[in-house]
Amino acid sequence: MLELIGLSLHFGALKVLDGLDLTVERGEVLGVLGPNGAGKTTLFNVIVGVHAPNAGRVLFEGRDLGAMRMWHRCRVGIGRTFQVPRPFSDMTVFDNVLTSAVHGGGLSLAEGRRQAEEALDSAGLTHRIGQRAGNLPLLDLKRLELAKAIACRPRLLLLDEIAGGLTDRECEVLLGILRSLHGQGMTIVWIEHVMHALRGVASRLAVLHGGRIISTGSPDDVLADPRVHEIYLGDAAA
Amino acid sequence: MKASTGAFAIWCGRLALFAGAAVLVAAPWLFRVTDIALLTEFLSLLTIAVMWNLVAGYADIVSVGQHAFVGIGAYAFFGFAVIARIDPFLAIPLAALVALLFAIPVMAIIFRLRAAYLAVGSWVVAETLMLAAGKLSAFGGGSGISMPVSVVRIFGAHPAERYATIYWIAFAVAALSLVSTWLLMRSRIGLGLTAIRDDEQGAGVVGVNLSGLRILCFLWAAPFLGLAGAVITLQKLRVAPPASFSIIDWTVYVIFIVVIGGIGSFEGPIIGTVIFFLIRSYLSEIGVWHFIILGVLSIAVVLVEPRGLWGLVRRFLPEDVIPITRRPPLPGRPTEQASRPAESIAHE
Repeated sequence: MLELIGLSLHFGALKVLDGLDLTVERGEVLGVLGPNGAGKTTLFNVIVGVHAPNAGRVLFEGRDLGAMRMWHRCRVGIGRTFQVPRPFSDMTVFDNVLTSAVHGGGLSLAEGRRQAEEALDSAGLTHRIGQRAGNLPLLDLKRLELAKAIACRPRLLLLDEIAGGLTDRECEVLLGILRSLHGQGMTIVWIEHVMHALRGVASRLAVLHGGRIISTGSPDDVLADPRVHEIYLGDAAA
Repeated sequence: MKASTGAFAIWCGRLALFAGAAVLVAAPWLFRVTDIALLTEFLSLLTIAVMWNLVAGYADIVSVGQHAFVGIGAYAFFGFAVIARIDPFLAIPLAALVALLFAIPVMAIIFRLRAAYLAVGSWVVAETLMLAAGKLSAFGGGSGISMPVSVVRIFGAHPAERYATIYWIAFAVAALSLVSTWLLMRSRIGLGLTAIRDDEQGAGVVGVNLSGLRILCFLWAAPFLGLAGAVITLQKLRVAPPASFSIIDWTVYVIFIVVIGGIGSFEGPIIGTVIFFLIRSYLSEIGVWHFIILGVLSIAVVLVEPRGLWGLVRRFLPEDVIPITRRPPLPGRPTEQASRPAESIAHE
């Protein structure tokens, strides 16, 4: 479904992505791990078009996204959440999600209302529907990120540390939502540090370090990989 | 503020708005000619402020060259009505069309720039157009030219009649700009623009066509600015480059109005225009000091609340007086006040 071929991106002398190759199969849940500064969020930024890579290609369903604009990538089926929630603060929760549904989902206002309701219901946020988005607590901001992303009706959902900062109970709620989305056939790529959350749904893991994928495979295989222990978990864990 | 008090304040605001609109409708029968002239100017400036707010406040195109389109509208109206001898009432919409046509190449130039560069670029384009207008000998060159009496009389044989006619034109232009822009903001386009206002990158990621909406806003504003230019020409009864393309009158004052009233809100330009005229009416006798007061006031408002006076008031209200938002379909109507920033809560 998604193919990243030789992706490189540097900011001045700093190489953030360095010839990265990665393939995501349709219907899988891929967990992406990596220490801080490994280039995980930048990778998402390149996929959705916030940054243009210095080299390499992003293929989505066989289509080279090339110079395709951010909004267009959303409309062809790529949704994402942000690590630090970015609500449209002065809009209501409902209008936040409605915006995604009518613009990202390409729906009319009437259809978008129904889609927004469904997305809010999936994300467990209907109790906040009329509130100002900027006033939500953290868990609900994360739910709003998710609702906005799924209201775009993506086939590929990119989640950026959506479980970070949540309690175990809140994390379980979130996992339930993600399992349900996956059950509906959505392909998910999930950057996360909360290992137990990731292992709860990911069928495959990829570890990013220094702008490259250094290990990929089943969660058990990746977590047993000595390179992962050395670079990501530390020598002591080996 | 309690929910019931907030709702009461909202309805008081709406009542004040209807009362203001009613006074404007009845103005020709209520006020003297000098007051009608002042109200005509008010309506023209309100139209320009609504458009700058749309372009800068929502679409994030911080142009300081919108006086270009006021000037183009003024010259186009004069050209059609006086030089081409077309019916002056028809010349008004034609002036809007010319402003729209000019907006296309101007947009092609300045949209290559962003942020401060766009602001400077828009100003340079406006000044260039003003200098070009000064070279048009048929329009009186650099010193400008007055409208012939024969054309002026078409709007009324007597000054009172003429002032009333021009007032109604200004009223129609302002009402059209407000109502149509409100409808625009209530549409899916308005949703996208409000999202851009709150978070440009976030809007792009959920599929809002940033460049498309920017183009639409710019092209939306241009004809209204051209209409305002035609009304201003009718009121001044002449065109001249420094007056028709005045950066102070049609851009600097307008930025003050929108910033002080509340940028990125529908109520802001209305509040700002009222405050601007109150300050100008009551403090103009103190000469240059009234400009200093305007400047200090705008800086003070921005420091306290970047969203202007309306942003300050809005903290205590559950919804807008002129709603552009949609009612949620399920139970759970707005219950929480917009009083604290997201960041302060997100990290609790």
